[in-house]
Amino acid sequence: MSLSPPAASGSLQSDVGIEFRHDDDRERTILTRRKAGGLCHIGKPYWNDPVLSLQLVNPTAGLFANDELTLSVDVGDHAKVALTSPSASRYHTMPRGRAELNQRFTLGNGSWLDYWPEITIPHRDSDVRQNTVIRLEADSSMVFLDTLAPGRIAHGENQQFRRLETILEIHRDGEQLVRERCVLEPGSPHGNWQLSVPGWEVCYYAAIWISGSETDTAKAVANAAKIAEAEGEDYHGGASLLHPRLAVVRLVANSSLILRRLTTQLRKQISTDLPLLKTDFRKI
Amino acid sequence: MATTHPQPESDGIEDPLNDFAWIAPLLHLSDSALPVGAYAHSAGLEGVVQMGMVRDAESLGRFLMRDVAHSLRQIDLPLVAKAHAAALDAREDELARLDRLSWALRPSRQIREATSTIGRQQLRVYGETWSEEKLLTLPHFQAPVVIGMIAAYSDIPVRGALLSLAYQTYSGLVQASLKLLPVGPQATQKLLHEALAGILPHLNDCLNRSDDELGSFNPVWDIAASRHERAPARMFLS
Repeated sequence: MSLSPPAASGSLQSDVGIEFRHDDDRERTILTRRKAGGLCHIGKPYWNDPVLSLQLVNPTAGLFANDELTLSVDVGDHAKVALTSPSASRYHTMPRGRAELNQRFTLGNGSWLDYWPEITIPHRDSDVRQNTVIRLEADSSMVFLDTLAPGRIAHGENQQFRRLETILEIHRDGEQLVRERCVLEPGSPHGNWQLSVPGWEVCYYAAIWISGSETDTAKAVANAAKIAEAEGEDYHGGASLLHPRLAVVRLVANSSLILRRLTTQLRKQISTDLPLLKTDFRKI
Repeated sequence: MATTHPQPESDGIEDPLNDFAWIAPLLHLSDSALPVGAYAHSAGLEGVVQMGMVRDAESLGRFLMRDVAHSLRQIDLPLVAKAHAAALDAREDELARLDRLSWALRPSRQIREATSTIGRQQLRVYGETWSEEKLLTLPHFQAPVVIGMIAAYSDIPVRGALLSLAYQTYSGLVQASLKLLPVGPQATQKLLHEALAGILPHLNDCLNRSDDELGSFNPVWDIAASRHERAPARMFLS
């Protein structure tokens, strides 16, 4: 655990590292290193053979001003891992200051990562910069979910955060396949129009990044498109094969329930082409 | 990189037109008649129209001046500026890196392919028409990088290169809109004028953007462009 002294009153800086390896003798994935604490704890791992699943727990269920969380997940060669979170990640109200979340995922040869966290909710006046880098090697595969709420809608907060910047980079074998940068500043001239759909009061967003073999990725995106691109007044979706081994399914929906229903349907559908996605996270 | 665009004849007297010789290749390269296949692409506009997000001149104007302008400012124009500088310094590795980055910044397969198809054709036309040397091979031939390169090789100032790309982008979209929407040529020319006027104040900001600042996020446009890949009927390739 690396827990630095707070830079500002009440803020935390945490450097969290988790490493998984495939144990050849036991023919199972094991957790070989856990450096956690501060802003991130990890739950007890359990096997959904052959996948080791784990919950990442944020004790404060979110970030406050000047918090800095660095999360490094290293999935070694042939290790198979599923990660989730028990509840929504919240970016709490911070009238001043900014929080930072830096995530690094490294997938070794023949490894598998199922990353399926709960939704991210930026609260009123929050200001967060989230940087995610995923590095895939050789025959590694993954499904990576990213979901965003426009705020605490039940509290009447629709896009009332100060600023939200998210950067996502995906690399395979050293080649950069994706760079996406989202900057939402509802109160500034930059605005928040990106997270809006004409006629909707609120807009939720999800992206599911899929990377398997060329055959599996192509089949998965084609089948996912049948669900995502079906006509619906409450949602819109589209799927694209960006690279022979990387696809993305994007969704916007006008309620969190519809977004959850769609992502759940898509997870089930994608698991027919990527069977390791069948981990049951044992959530109520 | 040598170019052979015609220079005004000199009779020994300094001709102020010499300072503007770059305008000839700029006009030529920006012309929608240049056979680069841009007419076959709508850059996702057809998908946005099919989703009902753009329906008329008013919503087309909003799309051009908000969504497209954002994409130009956050991706295309900074890449042109970076490629222009790299080409002037003959930094071939940097041009290849920018080309890969440009490809990675595209949100859907068709947009990636369209940007490469147009860039590859632009470089081919340039090579066959102006250049006397073997041209650099790029991993993807992304149009902003190619335009930045060609502009540098043709002595076109960087702001001219930025305007050329902005013009080609907007012009291609309004041409496509004539086939997709109930709008007339006069209305689209007005929109083209407004869109270009709107991007002008932002050109300087695009000259020195860091790589960290590059990237965009536009779920509705991205979804529309993705859905277009499987659209049962479509007029454009993207």
